Amino acid sequence: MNKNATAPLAGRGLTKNFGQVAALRGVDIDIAAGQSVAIMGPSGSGKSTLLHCLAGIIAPTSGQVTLGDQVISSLSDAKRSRIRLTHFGFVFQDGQLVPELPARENVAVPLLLAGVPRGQALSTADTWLERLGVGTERNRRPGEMSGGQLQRVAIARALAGGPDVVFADEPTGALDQATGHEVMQILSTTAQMSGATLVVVTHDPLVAGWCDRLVEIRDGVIHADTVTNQPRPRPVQDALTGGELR
Amino acid sequence: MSTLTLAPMLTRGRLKSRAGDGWLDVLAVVSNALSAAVALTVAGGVWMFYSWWQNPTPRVLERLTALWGPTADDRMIYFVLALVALGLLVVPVFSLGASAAKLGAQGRSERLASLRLVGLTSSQTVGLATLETLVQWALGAVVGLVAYFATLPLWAGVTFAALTIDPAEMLLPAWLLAAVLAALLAITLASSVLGLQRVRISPLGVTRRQTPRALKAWRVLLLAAVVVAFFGYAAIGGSRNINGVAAVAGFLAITIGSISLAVPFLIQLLALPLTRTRRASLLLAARRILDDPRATWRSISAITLLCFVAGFTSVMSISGEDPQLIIMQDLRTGVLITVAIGFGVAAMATLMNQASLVFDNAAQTLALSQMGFPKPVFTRVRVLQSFVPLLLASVIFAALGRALGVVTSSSQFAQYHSSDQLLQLVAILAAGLALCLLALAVCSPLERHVLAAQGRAND
Repeated sequence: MNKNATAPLAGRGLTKNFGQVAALRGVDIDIAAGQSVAIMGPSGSGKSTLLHCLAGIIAPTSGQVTLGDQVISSLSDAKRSRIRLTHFGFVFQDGQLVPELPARENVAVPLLLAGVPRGQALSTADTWLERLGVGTERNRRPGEMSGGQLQRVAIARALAGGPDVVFADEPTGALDQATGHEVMQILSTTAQMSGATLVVVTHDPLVAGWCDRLVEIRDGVIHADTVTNQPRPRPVQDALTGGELR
Repeated sequence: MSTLTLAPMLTRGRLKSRAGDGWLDVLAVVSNALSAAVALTVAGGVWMFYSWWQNPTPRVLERLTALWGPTADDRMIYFVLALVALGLLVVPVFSLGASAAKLGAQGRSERLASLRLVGLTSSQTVGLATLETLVQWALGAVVGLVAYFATLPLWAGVTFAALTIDPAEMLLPAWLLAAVLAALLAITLASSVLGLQRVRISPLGVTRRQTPRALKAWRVLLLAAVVVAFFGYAAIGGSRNINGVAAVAGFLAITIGSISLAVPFLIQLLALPLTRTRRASLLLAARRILDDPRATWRSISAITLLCFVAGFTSVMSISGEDPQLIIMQDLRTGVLITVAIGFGVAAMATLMNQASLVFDNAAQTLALSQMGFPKPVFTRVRVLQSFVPLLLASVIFAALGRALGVVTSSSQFAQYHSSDQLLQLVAILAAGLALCLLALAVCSPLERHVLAAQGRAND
């Protein structure tokens, strides 16, 4: 788990083939602890495959992924699952909260699976929901929340375990522009505040603008890798109050 | 392009699909086959006992006359019992056919919606869905028909009234065979339309997205009132007036109806404290049960009732030449056959429903898996959500039935009670439950297949 992110993430010579299709072709990438990186590229370029390889969701055909000193790409599926549960957090395009669970249990479930006692898991969940401005929604189920609120809960779920790295796959793809802007602001600032590295896959240059670094990928290879220094348009606390979220 | 040319083309494509959609078609055909085979076999049994009553062969007439007397009314008892068995099985069997149709409709809904977008008219879409349902049903019906005929000789090993069954007597006349198949077809088509409507109304499937209203305690109070009323009526000697088929049927309907209202509340009562667990799989299962306790009861009610009857009749295993003893033995044989068929249907229904959920929840499961949820968690949730209620209800209701059987058995039969009958009851329950567990186990590789197929990222 994150102890203010001391573990850099790296991929070396990553290739990934799906049948005859080469989705990644020898990608090298180093992501410093605490850095926020946007991965952009056209459809079919390999950006989500790169995220999945870095997150240990899929094993690369060749090459290796390391988190700190640990090579995670060669671990068994079960061990990679454990790493994802305890070291990584995830934010998906449409939240993917469990519909039958109230918000606080949605946030607490990964903690329970990681072995955190129930009381502590729920208390941590409540803290994060409060921090993200959806504390009053803790007993509501996903069907009773707006898109922006759902993504706040999803961000709380991703960060509650104190991950080293948060992976976000098109986190604003299902939201309107204004709400997406707010959600991205919250995601980048909370990840930064908790010391987690942030890796975001997106089509949206405005979303990428929230990150320290932009990696562009085309045809399975890194096409460009630039450091950006976008100013934060609004104070962090303003984004966390939830007042303008729909 | 006409519906007739489009349907086979789309079906071929689906069967070859990596996403596993073809599984839905295969499962729908298998379910249709099983429901057809069971419906025809049960109808064959009822027809045989109808013939024993109205038109017995010389060997049957001789035996039944020796046992109960020469008139048709004396021979009616087996037909009545067969109708009771039919009553116990008709809902689960038809439900299985309906589930198959709904599952097929769900599997097709997304594709049909896409076809609407590219220009197919509403009537063409409905026509396409109906045609595909018809083809699935017809394939299943043919397999079911073959299975019905192929298994007929196996019934020669079963005895009623100390007579071995002549399989030829279970052969349905053409008109009745056609009527059974027509009834199955009608239910299948109606369910297909309903299935498509359900998908249209709620594209997210069966899961409700809002906090469900808790069931109220009046459900249990109503059952308590019925029980008190029954015992009160019995205490004043009123139960002697409960004669005739209509009165007994009315009594049974009230009892079963009040149980069906009360049990979902009890399921809710049991599941609620489980949400305070620290085990994630138990929490997920308990929340899903609480999402719709009535659905949980619907999925286990038929088999639960059968287990109650099996428990009740498990005290009736008696051998001897006394006609009363023979009818009790036959009653128990009939119940065991009914329970065995019931468990077969329940196992298939479990497979259908859970396979359907695997596809419905694929995106959600994939996301949770990507987050690091261990794969055994999903299997455990399935077992806790669908098998544990079945296990508990089967055992509790079988025990209740047996307890009632022991209490109400007259003392002259008490000496015949033995542990053998209990073992037989336990054995059939264990075998039936194992079959349901096997059906659940099949869902795990299916889930892995579906997840693997969906896992390819859309870059």
